Amino acid sequence: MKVLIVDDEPLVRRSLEKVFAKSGHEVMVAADGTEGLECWKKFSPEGVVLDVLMPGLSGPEVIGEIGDVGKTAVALISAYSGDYDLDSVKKLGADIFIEKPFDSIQDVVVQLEKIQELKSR
Amino acid sequence: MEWMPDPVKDDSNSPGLVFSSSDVEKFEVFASKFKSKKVEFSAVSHTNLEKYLEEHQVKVIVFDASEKLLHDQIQLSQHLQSTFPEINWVLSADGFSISNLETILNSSDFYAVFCEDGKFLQTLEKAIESQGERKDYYDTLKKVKVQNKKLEELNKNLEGIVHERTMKEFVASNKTSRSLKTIRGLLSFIKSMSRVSNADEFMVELQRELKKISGIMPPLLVLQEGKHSLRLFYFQGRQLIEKKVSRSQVVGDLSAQNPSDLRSSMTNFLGRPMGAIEIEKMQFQAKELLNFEAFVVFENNFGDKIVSEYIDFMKDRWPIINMALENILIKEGMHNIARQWSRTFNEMKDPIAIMDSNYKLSLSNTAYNSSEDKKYLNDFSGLESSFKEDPVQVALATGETYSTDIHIKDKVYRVNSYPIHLDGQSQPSHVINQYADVTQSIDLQSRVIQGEKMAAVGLLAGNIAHELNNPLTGIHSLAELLLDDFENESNTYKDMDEIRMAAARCQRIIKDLLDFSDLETNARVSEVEVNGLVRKTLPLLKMAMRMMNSNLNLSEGELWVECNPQLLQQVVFNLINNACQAMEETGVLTVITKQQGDEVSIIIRDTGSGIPDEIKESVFDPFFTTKSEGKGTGLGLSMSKSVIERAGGRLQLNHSSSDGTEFEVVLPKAKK
Repeated sequence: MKVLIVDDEPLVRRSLEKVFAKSGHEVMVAADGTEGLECWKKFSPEGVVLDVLMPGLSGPEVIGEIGDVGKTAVALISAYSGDYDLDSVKKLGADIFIEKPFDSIQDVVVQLEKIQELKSR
Repeated sequence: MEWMPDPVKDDSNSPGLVFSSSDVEKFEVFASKFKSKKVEFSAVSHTNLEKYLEEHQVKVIVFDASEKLLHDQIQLSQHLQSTFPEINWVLSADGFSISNLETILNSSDFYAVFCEDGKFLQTLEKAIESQGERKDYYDTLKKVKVQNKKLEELNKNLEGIVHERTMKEFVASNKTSRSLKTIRGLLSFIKSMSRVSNADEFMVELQRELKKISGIMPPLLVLQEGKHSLRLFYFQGRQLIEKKVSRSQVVGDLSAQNPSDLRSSMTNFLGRPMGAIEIEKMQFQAKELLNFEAFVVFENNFGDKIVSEYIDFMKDRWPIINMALENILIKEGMHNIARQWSRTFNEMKDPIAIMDSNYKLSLSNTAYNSSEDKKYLNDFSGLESSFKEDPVQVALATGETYSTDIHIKDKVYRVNSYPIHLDGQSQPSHVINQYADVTQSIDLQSRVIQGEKMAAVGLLAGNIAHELNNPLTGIHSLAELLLDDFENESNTYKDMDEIRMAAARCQRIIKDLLDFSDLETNARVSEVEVNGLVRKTLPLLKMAMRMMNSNLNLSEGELWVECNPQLLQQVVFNLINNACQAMEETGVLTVITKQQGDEVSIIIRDTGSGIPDEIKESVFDPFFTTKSEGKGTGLGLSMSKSVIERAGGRLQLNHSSSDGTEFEVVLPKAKK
């Protein structure tokens, strides 16, 4: 699937890009919310991994700009775990919340694949 | 009174012998009789006789009487004889009948009588001779009489004066003794009244005094007591009764002093009929008693008339009674004020002491006297290390209130020193020291400060932690991914794994830090596993412990206690941090956990130089610190102590000497 990674932390961006590519996905990366929104529109990803706190647009704002995310599987990731949970991110239009630091980065791939598969049926 | 001498009679032409007759012819007869004998004489008619006698010194009168004029002649002779008693009278009664002779002789005093007697001349001579004696006698008698008369008069006058004086003296002394008696009575009353110190004694004395007048019963005293009640003192038999009565029970207005109103009221109070009464309202001079109502009431059996004795008696006594009563009331008032003051003073929760510059106590309240820290409270010299200036000396020197905090054992007292002038000098002589135990408020203040500090640290730590979390997530994830690119046994793989593990450790520290500073959860008490907590805490102190050898001796198995996990971690953190700071670089830190009965212990031991004896007692005081400025607030141990005590445990200094110090946290084992 086509995966868009939006995170302002280069190391996180890079590791996510790497792990998704390794799993055979087509990956596009964006360094902040504004760029992320452009890429989303241009690239029409089937899965998006979106950081919450970023310069420019925040993750939830990017979703807000998109409006209906449709069948795209959206995962919000944040180090401020206390602020979000599954229910709250669902209201924002995302499908899942993954807390940073990841227990295992492989899990991110596995979880996003699962949701994308569910949503595309 | 003058004693005039008699006028001197002219004797020069008087022969001393007088012949007096009413019949001039007789002169010739008499003359012829004496001529031969050469006896000189004067012939004087009866009519002129008195005048002649007044003017001449006469010795003998030959009084020639005739029966015709007998009555007149008797009268004349009587008169002249009494006027001139010194003269000898010789009666010539020529031709007198016996009865007439008797009559004249009985009525007058004659030396001799001759009736044509041949011895006439002889008799006459005798008469003249004897007259000398007679004259002397009568002269003397006359003088004596005159003197006597004068003396009598004098005596009479003197007697009058003496009598007058005596009467005066008598009246005066009577008056004096009476007024003396009155004054003595008054004096003794004043004396006894001046000695009374309360209403009871006053009544007894008044009653004793009143016994002096009849018709008066023992007195009653009515005193105002607040707005709504009265105090009544009266005698029941010999016993003095004090009774409080409601003012509503009084008929009529007391101050109107209407005897019949008061009488019916009294009848009510006393439960017996009352006789006539006299009411006297007391008037007081003292400002605080200006409107105070007090009445002295006398029951009496005077009937309708007030006895003047009573009025006189009481006239001088009312002012004394009034004054004595005022005195008592003022005393009572002062006593009340003093009692209220001393009660207030003693009820004060804070110790208060009044002392002079030598710390000698003048007065101290109960809180001070019963304070367990009493021996330290006025010994500022022994506490020099705790504060800079002695509040007593500062307050005395500046004359202004001075406040300072003194530390006594685990307490902090705020000493407010108020200088006062007790001896009337211009310089304050004493200081009132009020010791407010501010331990709790300082403790609270410390906790607030600590809380704020922690909140700030927490906020900062939270932000930094999250900022760090992002790159750490990247490092950890990337390292994890890169591991796949290398052979398991290759050096690069091992290096990469080290990076991944280091990143993971960093993440864990950050998570613990976030937990540690999570203030919202600080208040919550939950079950905490002590060994895990110690393990979790040590990494936070790696910096402090970097040079030490640590010796971890944790019990096997889990040790559960009930406490707030974050706060307990802070305590362990503080104790280990202190231990590390107490040691030189080569020190050994020992942490032991163990269970003893129902208690769980965490022992933290260092090999530092120990806590000096003189400050051992102070180490748990808030803000007590031996660390240099900026290194510590001194809140650590005091906060730790209060955290542990709130969890039902204790924090104790087990041991401290030159070879090291050991603190122990003891908590009750969780009931699980």
